Amino acid sequence: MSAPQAPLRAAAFVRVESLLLPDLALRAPWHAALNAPGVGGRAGRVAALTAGLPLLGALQRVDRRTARRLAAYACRGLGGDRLAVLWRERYADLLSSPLRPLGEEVVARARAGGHRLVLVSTAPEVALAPLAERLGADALLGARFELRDGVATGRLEEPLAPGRVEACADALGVSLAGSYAYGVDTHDLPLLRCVGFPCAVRPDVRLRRAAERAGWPMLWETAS
Amino acid sequence: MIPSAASAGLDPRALLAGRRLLVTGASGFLGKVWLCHLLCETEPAEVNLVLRPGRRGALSRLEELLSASPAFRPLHERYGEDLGRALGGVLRPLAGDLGAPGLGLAPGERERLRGVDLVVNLAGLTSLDPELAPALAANTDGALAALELAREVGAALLHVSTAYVAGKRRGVVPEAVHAGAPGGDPFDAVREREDLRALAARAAREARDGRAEALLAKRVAEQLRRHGRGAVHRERFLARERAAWEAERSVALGRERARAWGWPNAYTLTKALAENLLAARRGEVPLCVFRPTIVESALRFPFPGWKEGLQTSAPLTWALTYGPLRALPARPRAVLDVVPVDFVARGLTLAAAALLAGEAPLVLHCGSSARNPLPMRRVVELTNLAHRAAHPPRGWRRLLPEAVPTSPARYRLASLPLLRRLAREAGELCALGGEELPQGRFGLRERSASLARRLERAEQRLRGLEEAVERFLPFVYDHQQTFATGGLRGLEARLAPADREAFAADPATLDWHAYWTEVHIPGLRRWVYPRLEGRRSAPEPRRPVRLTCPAEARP
Ligand SMILES: NC(=O)c1ccc[n+]([C@@H]2O[C@H](COP(=O)([O-])OP(=O)(O)OC[C@H]3O[C@@H](n4cnc5c(N)ncnc54)[C@H](OP(=O)(O)O)[C@@H]3O)[C@@H](O)[C@H]2O)c1
Repeated sequence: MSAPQAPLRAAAFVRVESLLLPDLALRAPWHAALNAPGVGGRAGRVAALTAGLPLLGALQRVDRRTARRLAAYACRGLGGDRLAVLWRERYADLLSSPLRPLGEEVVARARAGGHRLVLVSTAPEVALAPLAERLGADALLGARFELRDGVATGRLEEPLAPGRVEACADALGVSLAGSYAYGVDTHDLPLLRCVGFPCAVRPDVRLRRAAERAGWPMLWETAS
Repeated sequence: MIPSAASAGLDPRALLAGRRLLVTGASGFLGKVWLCHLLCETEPAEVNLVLRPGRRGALSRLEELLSASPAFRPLHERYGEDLGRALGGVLRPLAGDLGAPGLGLAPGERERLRGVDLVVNLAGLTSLDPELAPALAANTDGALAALELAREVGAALLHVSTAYVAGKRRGVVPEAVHAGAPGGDPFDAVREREDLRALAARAAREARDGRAEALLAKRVAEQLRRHGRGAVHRERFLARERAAWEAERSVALGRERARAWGWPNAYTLTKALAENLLAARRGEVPLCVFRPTIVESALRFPFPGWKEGLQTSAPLTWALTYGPLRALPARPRAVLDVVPVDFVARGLTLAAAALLAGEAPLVLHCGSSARNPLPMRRVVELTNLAHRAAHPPRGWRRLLPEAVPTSPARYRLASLPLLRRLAREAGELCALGGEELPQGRFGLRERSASLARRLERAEQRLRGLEEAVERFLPFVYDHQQTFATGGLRGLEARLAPADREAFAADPATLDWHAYWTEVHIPGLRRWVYPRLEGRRSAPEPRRPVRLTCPAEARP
């Protein structure tokens, strides 16, 4: 007879953008382009981003995910080492200033419930590692640059790509059915759908509609 | 069942305990770190150190090394003020010179050395473009003299060579003594040694023939005029110019000869000669040839970032960040095989132990290309990033481009060589101005002449850098090789888990980003770049050591 297994713990999956920090998805690629090594590499990237500015601006309003992926394409050809450094540089000021109160409250709630804390972000993991450390998070589910031979192909691996949430839960030894997720936009739908206790925090219009349909609770303001 | 040597354990501490060693080259960068590692991790009974004595003798030289070199920090930390007493009975400095017959040891010393267990030959002339005669004396003749000494006293020989004896061989370089020249031609080492001697003599002869005499006389006359010196100084100037001319010629002849065979320089050629001759003449002497690749700063031991010497990649990384080099001729995918000095020191101790156990392979590589290759693209990038971390770009500096690898053709067209040509042309123009402009007109003539001198100095500096880049070209562009390191990995596998921390050093464990940006480049900035810039590095506190040797050990 097998030994009785320890009950699985729960986790709180907390989306970083909007909840804890502003979204730099479009600004960080500019930083990368402006700081590419070599004159040609820098000029080419800056020119491409400048030309694509109207399109990116429009897309940002209707489809953030595509806008983010298009902007990240400016990083194509940059080394993984440089991307890590530049992203960290771009986030450094943000990470050293106070976090948004609503997000802090969500994190405090998770901690009070004895839950494992998982930060979910559309920014690359390298940029948010210091935040994860500051909050004592147990895991970080962020975007990842696809690298070939150490050089970025321009494509991003999504944080909620199929299988990543489950793999993260397995690694932490938590049950998804008993876990909580705090999402802010439709990007978070796959996550909200696979946990037992989803919650939409200050959702955008589309997530609000989905939350109303599914009967998920919504959080608008801090309790204090 | 008797365990096979390959699977039985290897205990370096037990194998080295109570042994008598003789070491050459312990005053060098690798030598000091290894000696310190040996003394920290094992307990040999006696370590004889062959040192060039200088004016004050070998003992005084050793005491100076122990007192002043940061490489011995761990020993100071362990023994404090007792260091001299603790090591006095173990370390025996012996005056010697690799280039002299019989290592230049004092008469009677060889008798005293009878029964030494292991000779470790670390000494070498490590300049990448050396003069032929001293390179041959230190790298080839010295190694053979070490073999003869080992034979005479009944010791094994651990000879430190370089992985780049492979020359331009491509692909996976095996751990074996290479037969033939890298270019594929049949190669007779005995004959080559004689031919190199003849070449060195030719450089000396040419420096004294009529043509050189005429050229030098012209140069000296020009110098006397420029310095405003009289004819009484002529002989002194002539001797200096002749020596420089001979050295230049000897370097050029050596380089040409090495390249004709397929080696990048005379350093690797003379090291390869030594290996061939040692293998042929070893007879019954147990021999291990240990070949590090490019030895760089320490990851952890004696302390993170420790580096000494200008021979490895320091001039390049300096030029990429502080100098005017923004496009380095390098193949982005070419692998630069660097290895931290503490990894090499551990490998060397392991090889010594294996040799004493009678189980060392004939050749061992110690490098990173097989387990954790570092492509040049990444070297350039990490160098940029290390600089960025130390000097975050602000204001207009943000506009400055960072370095990139480029092709040699583009480099010659648009990088350092172009700058140097511009400096020369501008210098010549200013020199002309200094002669032709009318005197007294706003001091234009003087200003022009002074600018010409400054440009001449700038051109000389750029030429020096350009030569450093050219010397490195084979390693960063031409060569495409991976050095097999199965030998050391095999020895490491036989270590007890508790010994791995002290003696194993698998480059697969290296995080290049962290090493390069947080350890290596900051180490170079502290210890090496100041020397490249003609400054002294910030002084290290001296901790005076007086070795209290047993009376008979004093030379
Ligand atoms: N550093 C590297 O990247 C590297 C890579 C591969 C292989 N190696 C090999 O490793 C060994 C040590 O290298 P290193 O970096 O420590 O070199 P190093 O710092 O230049 O030291 C060379 C050592 O050799 C001694 N030496 C030179 N000529 C001598 C002579 N005629 N008589 C007696 N001693 C003499 C020097 O003594 P003084 O102090 O009196 O000058 C010094 O102790 C060399 O054999 C080198 O070929 C080095």
